[in-house]
Amino acid sequence: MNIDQTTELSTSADDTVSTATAKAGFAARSFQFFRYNMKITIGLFLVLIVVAFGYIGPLFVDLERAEVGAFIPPGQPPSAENWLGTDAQGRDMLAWLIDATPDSLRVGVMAGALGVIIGASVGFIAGYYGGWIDTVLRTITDIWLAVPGLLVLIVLASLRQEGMTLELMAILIAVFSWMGAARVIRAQVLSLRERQYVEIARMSGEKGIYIVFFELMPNLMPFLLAAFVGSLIGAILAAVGLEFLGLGATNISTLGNILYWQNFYNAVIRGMWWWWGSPIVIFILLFAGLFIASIGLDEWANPRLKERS
Amino acid sequence: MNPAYIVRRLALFVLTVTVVVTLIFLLTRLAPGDPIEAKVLALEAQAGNTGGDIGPIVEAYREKFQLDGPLHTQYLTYLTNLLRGDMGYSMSSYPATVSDMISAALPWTIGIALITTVVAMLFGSLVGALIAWRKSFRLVQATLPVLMVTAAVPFFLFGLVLQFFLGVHWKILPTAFGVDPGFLVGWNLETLWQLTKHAVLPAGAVIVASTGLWGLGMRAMMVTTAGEDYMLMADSKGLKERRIFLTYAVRNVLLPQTTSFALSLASVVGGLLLVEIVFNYPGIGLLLRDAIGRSDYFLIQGITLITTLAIAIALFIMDMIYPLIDPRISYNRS
Repeated sequence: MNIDQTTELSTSADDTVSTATAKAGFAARSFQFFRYNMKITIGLFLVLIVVAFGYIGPLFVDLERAEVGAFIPPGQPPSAENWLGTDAQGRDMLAWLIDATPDSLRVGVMAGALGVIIGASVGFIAGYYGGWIDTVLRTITDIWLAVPGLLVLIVLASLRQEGMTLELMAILIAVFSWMGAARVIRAQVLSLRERQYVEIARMSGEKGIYIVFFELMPNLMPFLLAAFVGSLIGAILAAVGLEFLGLGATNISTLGNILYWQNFYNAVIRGMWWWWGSPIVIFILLFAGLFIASIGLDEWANPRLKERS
Repeated sequence: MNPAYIVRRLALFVLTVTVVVTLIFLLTRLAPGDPIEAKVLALEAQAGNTGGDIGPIVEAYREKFQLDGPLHTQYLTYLTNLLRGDMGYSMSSYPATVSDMISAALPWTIGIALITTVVAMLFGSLVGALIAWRKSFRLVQATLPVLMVTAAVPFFLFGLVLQFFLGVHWKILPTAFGVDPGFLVGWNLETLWQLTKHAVLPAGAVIVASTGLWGLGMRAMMVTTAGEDYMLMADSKGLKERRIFLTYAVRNVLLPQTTSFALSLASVVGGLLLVEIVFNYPGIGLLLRDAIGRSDYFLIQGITLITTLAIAIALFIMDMIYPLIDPRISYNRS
């Protein structure tokens, strides 16, 4: 009896809320959302600058300018012809950066998405089924957390004599970046599965899979998004680290490869600041954007983190 | 301390190390291509010969490095050798052993790691706590966006920036190496000065970046704590501001801070290794880069193993210290 009453109360409360928001319309609601979650807005904006640079840039700049030996003499500082200068092999920095940005983003998105899928599945299963399954999965997660992923990746990458591909790198990185998502999702599922609506779904004979996808998933969306951005950051960091060591996909242009080559040619000591300076600006925009967005997503998922003002 | 807790942590430690050791063993043995064959072929090409019969040489080396038995006996030899601290010879700098090369590089890395951790932890936590404290200076609170940028960007990018401005442009500090080339290290003040001078930039890069991490973590925890009832209670009792800040807020936050540091330790070490490469600092990171450049597989594996072991030991020690700081940990979930 008691359960019935509370559910009825909560559904009626939900109804009033949903009609109120439905009236506001999708555009207005989105606007409200972004206004109240400034960190997500700012973060997304910074990331969008980088995305636009990489994907709209090719419409304005000829990417053939990024080929080795395109400009002679090489190693020139920024000028009217080469806005961001040229490297020691005569590549136009601006074109090279535009060429490199999409592939760096792609590695991150692929690895990040894969990492969240693995992590969320592990977290779901551990949190939902509990018992010995939980113990085993939690132990695996704890062990994996203590393994320095970058180092094992280095061993793996150095063993591959045929060189790296973008996809392979993404898969390898994902294998070492799912633990954060697993922990967060497990903790959430643990608390969610005791809620009454889950209890009711279970009592009315719904299958575990159905409950996971239709009862739990919607409530986990903010956490999943935050976890995705988190593993996206980790993935891009790992990719940049590998590439900086010369272990990335060397036959294509990525931001990490640009940094590898500037280190190879001692650009800092030779005072060629435009060579390492411009990729750093992109990295700062990208990482700061993602990071601020992830803090914003965390606060959205868990309002307790938000500062009371 | 609860014995069950110690046993569980110890088991986790042993498991972690075993997993990494096994993983590296399997990866290197099952990966396509044979490092010894590749090495011999490369040496042959270097000498100007191609197409010679390298079979016997490869066989001889396999036997020498005990790579000719079935997988499980190989694994056992590998494990027993490891337990004796024998990680084989370096392929690129024979007859130096992998352990010798690593022990020469390790003190540099550990030194930087310790200094940067302590400084960044103290400084970052303080800044983070002050940012969250509403009654602190506006100027301190305004540094939040700066922290967000420094926390997000990989360490070695700061290395590049610092190296350029302080080392190349203004020429205040040396840009590379652990000491000046040709300098003889001894127990004297001159050595200390040399070491300090060369460590400032690499350490600075790590400190700048990890201060952001510590600061943000601290701030987030402080914000949560500020809403707790005991804070309101302390305030209404009329306690001194300083006392509420230090013993009520900061003290409660320090423990979760340590936990989050433990979780990020592996990636912090990874970042540090890349910083060393930027500054040609003679630690593990530089050794690793050279090992990769010369395809010295044994050295690469050795470095990975030692670093993993170091991280696992650090985490284990930290786990042993927790219950002393916070008794709740060992009593819960036993």
